[in-house]
This record gives sequence, C-alpha cells and structure tokens, in this order.
Amino acid sequence: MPPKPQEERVDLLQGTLDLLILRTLLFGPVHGHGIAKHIERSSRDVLQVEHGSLYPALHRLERNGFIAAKWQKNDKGREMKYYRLTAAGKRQLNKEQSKWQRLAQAIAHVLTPAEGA
Amino acid sequence: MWSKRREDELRKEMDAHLAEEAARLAEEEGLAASDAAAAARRAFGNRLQAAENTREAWGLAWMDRLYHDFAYSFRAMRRSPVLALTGVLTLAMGIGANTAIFSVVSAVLLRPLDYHEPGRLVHISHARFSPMAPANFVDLARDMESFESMSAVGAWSGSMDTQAGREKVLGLTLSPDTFRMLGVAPALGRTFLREEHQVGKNHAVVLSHRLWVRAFGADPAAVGSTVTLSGAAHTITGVMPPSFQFTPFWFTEAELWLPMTLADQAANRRAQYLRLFARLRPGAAFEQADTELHTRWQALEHAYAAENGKLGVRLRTLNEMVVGDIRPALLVLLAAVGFVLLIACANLASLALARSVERRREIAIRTALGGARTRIVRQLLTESMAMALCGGLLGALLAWYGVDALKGWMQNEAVRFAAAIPRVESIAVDRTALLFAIAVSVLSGLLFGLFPALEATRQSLTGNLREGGRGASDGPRSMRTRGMLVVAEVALSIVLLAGAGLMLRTFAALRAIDPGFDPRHTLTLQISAAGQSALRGERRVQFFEQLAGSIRAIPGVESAAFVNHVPIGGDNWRFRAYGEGLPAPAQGEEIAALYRVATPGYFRTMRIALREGRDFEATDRESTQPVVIVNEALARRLWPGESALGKRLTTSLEGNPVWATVVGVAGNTRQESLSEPSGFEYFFPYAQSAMLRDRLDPAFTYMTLVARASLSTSQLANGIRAVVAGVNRDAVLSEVRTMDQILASATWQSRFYMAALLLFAGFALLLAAAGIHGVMTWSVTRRTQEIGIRIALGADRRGVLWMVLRQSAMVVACGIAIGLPLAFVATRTMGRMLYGVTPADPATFVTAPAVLIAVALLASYLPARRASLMDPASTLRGE
Repeated sequence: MPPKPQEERVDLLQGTLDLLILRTLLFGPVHGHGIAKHIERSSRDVLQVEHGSLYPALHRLERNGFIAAKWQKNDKGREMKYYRLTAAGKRQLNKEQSKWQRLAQAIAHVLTPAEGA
Repeated sequence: MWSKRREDELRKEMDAHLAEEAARLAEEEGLAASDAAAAARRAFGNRLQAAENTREAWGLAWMDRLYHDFAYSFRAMRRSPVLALTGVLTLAMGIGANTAIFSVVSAVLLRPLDYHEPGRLVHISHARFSPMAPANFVDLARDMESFESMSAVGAWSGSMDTQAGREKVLGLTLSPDTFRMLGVAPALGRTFLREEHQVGKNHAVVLSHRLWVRAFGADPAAVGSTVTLSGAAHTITGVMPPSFQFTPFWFTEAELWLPMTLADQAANRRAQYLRLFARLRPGAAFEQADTELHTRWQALEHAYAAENGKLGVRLRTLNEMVVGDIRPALLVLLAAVGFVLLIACANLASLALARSVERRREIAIRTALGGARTRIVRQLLTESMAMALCGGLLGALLAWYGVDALKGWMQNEAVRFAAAIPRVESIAVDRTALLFAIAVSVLSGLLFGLFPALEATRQSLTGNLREGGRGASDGPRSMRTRGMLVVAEVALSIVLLAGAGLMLRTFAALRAIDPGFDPRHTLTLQISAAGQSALRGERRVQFFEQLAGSIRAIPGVESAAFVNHVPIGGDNWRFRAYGEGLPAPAQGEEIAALYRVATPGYFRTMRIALREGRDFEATDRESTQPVVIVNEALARRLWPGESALGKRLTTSLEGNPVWATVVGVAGNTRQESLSEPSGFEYFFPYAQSAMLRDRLDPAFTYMTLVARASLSTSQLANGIRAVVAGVNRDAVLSEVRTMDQILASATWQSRFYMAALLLFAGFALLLAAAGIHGVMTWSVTRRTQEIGIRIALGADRRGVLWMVLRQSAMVVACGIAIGLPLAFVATRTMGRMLYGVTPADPATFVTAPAVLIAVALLASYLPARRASLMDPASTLRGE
C-alpha cells in the first residue's frame, strides 16, 4: 500500500498508544514490528507510529503486568520477542476502551450543534 | 551487571525489528538491501531516544544512568591519565590532610568525656588554677545546693613491687564516693567502701586497666590479692574498664587509685595540693553553681584571711579544663587545612573549565542528539565526582597512616605529661572521620565540577559544531572566571603564609630564650628511696651524697648533683619567704618562692651562674648554720639595691622560725615553662632539709639527679644504673630524660603548629603557582594569533613579555589586596599560639606577599617567555 501523503497522517496522542497495543494483542501474541505494522494497516495508514516509540510503551505495559513477553522464532526463522495479553491486560483493555469511547462521544457532542441551538 | 542482560535484550529486540522491516521493504517494495535498511531506520525514528525512554520505563533509570556515567568518567580519565593522576593526587593530599586534622579534632574536642553525663562534671580551683588546701575542701563540700557531690583528688607517686623488681608508679588518692560521682563502674571487683577511707583501714587500691594488663598479665585472680606499694601491703579491690581515665587533664599518667585519708590534714588550710571535682545537681545550672561557689568562698576568705586571702576561686566544666587550652590551636589548623583544600578545588575547577571549553564540540553534538542540558551537566558532574571520590579514597588511606605516625610522634615528644595533647590515645581515623572524608570528597567534587559544567553547556550550538569552532563569547568569559579563581587562590595563600610566618617567628623567639642554664649533654633521672623505711634522716642524706660521689667518678662524667625538681621538667612547690628585719607584708601580699633543695655541685652541673657568694659545700650540715641560696629575682625583691649575702630569711614566721643565711645569689632560670619569665626561687641544702630527709611519704623520698657528661645518653644511663644498683638494690630509677628533651618537650606544640602551617602554606604556594602557570599558559595559547600579529607588526619581544607578565601581575595584585585584610582578621584567632610576636606583625605581613609575588613571577615567567619567543609566521599560518 502506498504511504498516505503527509497532511493526512495524524499524530498519535500519548497514552492512546497503550490502548492500541493492548487491542492489537487481543487476537494473539505479536512481536513489536508486527504491532507497528498492524496499527498502521488497521488505521489505513492514518496513524503513523514511529516504530521506536513503541518500545517504551511495550516495556511499560510489561512492567505493569498487562502484557507478558517471550522470545520465539518467527516464520522466517528470526528470533523475535513476542508479547501476549495477560488477564490483567484484558481487564485494562476493556477499561481503557470504554474510557476512550466516552471521551470520543463527549467530543462529538461538543462539535455537533445541540438540538434546538 | 544485572541490567546488562536487559540492555542486551533490548538491543537484540530493536535489531530484530529493524531487520524485519528492512526485509519487508526489500520484499514488498523491491528496495535494494542498503536502501531498505536505511528506510527501516528512518521509520524507526531516534533509536537512542527510544532506548533512553525504555530505560526510564524500567523505572531504575537513575541507577543505570549513574553507573553509565561513572563508567564513562573512568574511561575519560583513562584517556588523559596525567591530568587525572594530578587531580586525584592533589585531592588525595588535600582530603587526606583534612581528614587527619579532623580525626584529631574529633577525638580531642568533639568526643564527650568517658563518664556518666560528663557535661555535669565541673572542676573547682583557685584563680590561677592552683590546687586547694584540705580545710577549704572540707568547708566547701558541706551543704552545697548546686552540687550533688564533691570530691578531692591528690597526687600520689611511689613504688610498686612486681616480678620485674621495684618500679615507680603514679597514682591518685580519692576522697569518698569519687567513683560514684563519676558514674563509672569497675570492670572487675569493686571500688572503695566508706570505711576504707579511715586511717589504718586504707589499704585498698583500684588498678587501671593498663596497669592490670602490664603488671598482672590481665589475671582476674589479681582482684583480692595483695600488692606492695612503697613498702606497704595493699589489697587490690577492683580494676577499672580500659577506656577509663582520671583525671582527664591532670596527672593523666596515674595508673592506680587509692582511698584518701585526710585525718589531721583536714584542718590544714595552707598546703595547697588537692584538686576538686563536683557534679552539678540535676536541674542546677552552671551559672547558679558559679554564683553559689563564689558566695561561699567569699565567706571563707573573710573567715580565714591569712591563709585564703587573694586566692580567689574558679569554676570550670571538666570538658573545658581538658580541651580549653588546645581548642583554638586545633581549630586554626582545621581552618588552614580547609583553605588548602579550597585552593586545590579552585585549581581543579580552573582545569575543568579549560577542558570543558575544549570539549565544546563533543557537548554540542550530544545536545544536538537530544541530550537534555541537565543530563549533560549531571554527567560532567559525575566525572568530577568520580575524581573526587578516588582522591577521597586515597586520601583516607593517607590519613590513616599519617594519623598513626602523628600519634606516635606526639606521644614521644610530650615526655612531660603536662605538655601532652589530651586524649591522644583515642585519636584514630574512625567511622566519624571516614564519614567526614566522604562528605568532603562529595563537596569538593561538587565545588570544582559544578560551574565548569554549567559553563560548558551554556554554548551556542552552531558556533561550536563548526570545525575548530571558537564560540564568540566564551573565550573572554572563561578567562575571566579562571582569573577570578586564581585571585581566590592567591588570597587564601596569603592567609596561610601569614599564619605560617607568625608561627615561624614564634618558634624562633622560643628558641632564642636563654633558659638560664645549659641544657646540653645533661641527663636527668629520678632516684627514689621509696619503701625503704631504714633510709631516713642522716642515712638518706648519706645515701644520696654517696650516690652523687660514685656517679661523679664514672669516666666521662664532668659533674653531677641532686635537686628535688629540675627547671621546667619538674614539679613546682612554693613556700613563703620572709626577710629578717623587713616589715611584715600585708595579708595577701606575701612573697612565695619556688622551693628547691640541692646537693653541692648543682649549680656547676647545670651551669647556672652564681652571681655572688658560693655554692653549698659538704660542710653545710644539719648541725651547722642554716644556709640558703636565693635567685637574683628574690634577692632584688627582698633587698633591693643591696647585696643579699649575709642577710637572713625564713619560710614561715610561725612558732620558732628558722632563719637561714644567704650564702649565694644564683642567676634566674626559667621555672614552670619556657615562655614565662622567672619568678622567685630559693635553694636549701639537702643535708639541712628535714622535710625531705625524714618523711616516708613517697613524694618526699626521691631526688632528681642531674649529670653532665660527654657520654651518650644510653651509656650514661647504664653507667648510673650500675652504680645505683651497686649502692642500693632497692632504689627505684625513673624518668630518664635529657634536659634538651625536656626543653624540646616544652616547645613541641609550637613546633607542631609551625610544621603543620608551614606544610600547608608550602602546599598552597605550590598549588597557586600551578594555577597561575596553567592560566597564563592557556591565556597565551588563546592569544597566539593576536601575539603573532603584534610581533609581525613590529612589537619588540620584551614588550610582549611585559604584556603577559602584566596580566599575571594584575591577578596577583588583586589576590594580595583581598588576602591581606583577610589574613589580618584570621591571624587574630592565633593569639594564644604566638610568643614574642603580635598577630599583626608587620614583618610577616610584608614578607608573605613578597614570597607570593616571587613565586607568581616564577610561575608566569615561562609562559611569558614562550609568548615573546613566538615566530609570527608559523602562528599566523597554523591555528
């Protein structure tokens, strides 16, 4: 997929990266590179993540116990560090996801004119 | 290291990510391998930053950072080893010296005395710290309100019979409940019972730990056993703990304690030989006790005007008695050594500033790569801290050895206990001193690292990144800062030079004192007949006279005689002197003279001049006319303007006064100390001195031998020992010293301060010279182009030399201008350490700057000369 032009890309808010990582891991263990690619693809290239910025987030989530890591060989035979969601991580994901939805709804209400205004 | 694995894993993870992305790009978008790799890196973003942030996420970032910084610092130090070594050695010497002096201060001044609640213990004496008479003690001890308890202590010296023979031992007699007042329990056995202070029952003795180990082999069975002291049997009732010492400032060599029995002495209001100690009642303030003491003393003065007139009374805390005299000097030394360290730090700060200017590029690159300023400052600080801690470690080691050596030297020099520094045995580089060393190291590191670090990171980026970049504004600013540092160094050096100069003059003045006798080649030692009750009266006189004769017969001995106490090194007993036919002096105005008893030949042996008349002779005996020899001072006082020969005097007007005829007038000698002028002194022949002949009290059974010989000390001592053993096997020899040693011992503290201050001043001069040299070299290097142009345009070489020297002179002049007033204020604290010179001595205050200017000139000459010899062509071509 050709990269989208610069003005269509949106900078990622801090803190939301955690949410995206957790969500990505919902369907099974992925390594760092895979997570980056998944976020980019799923967002249709709108969200461009600097790959490097993933790692602090990943390690922070690991330290807090929301994800767990294991070294494994990928299909090309390269040793990669795979992350998977823990039970606590799943609970955190749900919490963050509902928080995000409430935030998005609140912003939408502000932007959309209210009935009868 | 534990985090190394984590670091390695992270690196592996990121490498794998990059490889994966590169592979994907090559595959999906058909990029060449190198292009794919580059694209992958771009997509990754700032890898270093990511790694940094990940480390922060780990939460132990600060520890990692610290380790990382220290590792970097050591690598940097390895890169410039000479600089690092110089810095570490300088710091080691500065921190080591500070730690050593602090150890002394901590042990002598800061540590509380080893008694229960030592702050409540006080010492009571007369106005000139003289001891008290027993009757006054008894009266004062009655019904005190402010004091919970009061004790009297008397000196005791005698002999102790051990397996090795009879040896001399010093002790103290204590009034009842003294140990309880001090609040220290014995380590073994018990202290005295009340009844053991009664006449006939006072055969108990308590040993010090040191004596118990030395003479009884630390045998617990010693408690309860008997020991013969001065011929009398005593029972050892207890042993005190190792750290116990009493008294802490007087007769500190006492090794045993005996119960005091006053009996008939309790009514004696004349003989002053007791020292009083007391404990304040809980809740009673010192001032309150002082007032009460003065009030009660006034009552006693009125009641007994004849004996107590004009004596006064004084209350001091025990701690003050122990350290009061020496505190100012030790604090002066501590300040001086602190100055040396400050100068060292200034030098290092200057060097660090110069280096940081050189490292501009490196720092600029790091800033460009995203390094926060605080981060870089922290890392630069760590470098200076690393050097400081290394220096501190080495310094602590140096202090350890230095303090050991210093202690040994101090204990050797102070052959007379009165001259000793109190609590010398407890001086050590202990935990407190080590903590101090660490604190000083950290502070030094901060001091010389902080503002060069701040300065270095305050640069503009682009100017420094350019090749050979020389930022527009940093040169003159750094130069100014370095100049100010040199000014500070010069100022502090002046202070140290002034102090050292004053001590030098003090020592010279002390050495120039004529003691009134010739101390060279003269040996002194005490010979005691203690414990030999058969040697009394005429037999004792014969004993000493026979000894004198036999010792004179030793080949190589020029002369020998006995005296009760030698000048400066001996005790000082005083009695009254009344001239016959003279008007009776008013109460409190009586003349007291130092009481000396000598055998014939004393004046010749000591080479004391006999201004008039004759020495004692063998014909002066008990049965012949009582005679006396007075010193010039006493002669002039009693009979001004006339010859004292033939006049008569007595020591007491009571009862049947014995009038002695003056047969000789001797020259004045120094008596109690070298620095005090001579007082009144009179000499009586031993043969006519009933008190010393007849009494069995150990304090009266010994005489001091003085022998002048051309032999070595050990030869003479052995010869004398052999002679004495031949005459009387039970005689006890002790305190073998030469008069030279005694005199040296009297001035050893001055010598010590002088040596220390000279050392510090010398070190400071060296550092200041190095600092000046460094700054001038740096300045010349910076101005290479300018100087080259000047020379090319025709400036003569001499002019260039002066131009550079002028710059140095400005800095030195500023330093001296600040330093002299500082020195003026600082030397006022040295008042008590000085002799024969005032704190504002003009000669010293002129010489000190002169010395500094000479040194500074020397230090600046080389760089100046190099500047003047520059070849303009090469300087303008190169950079």
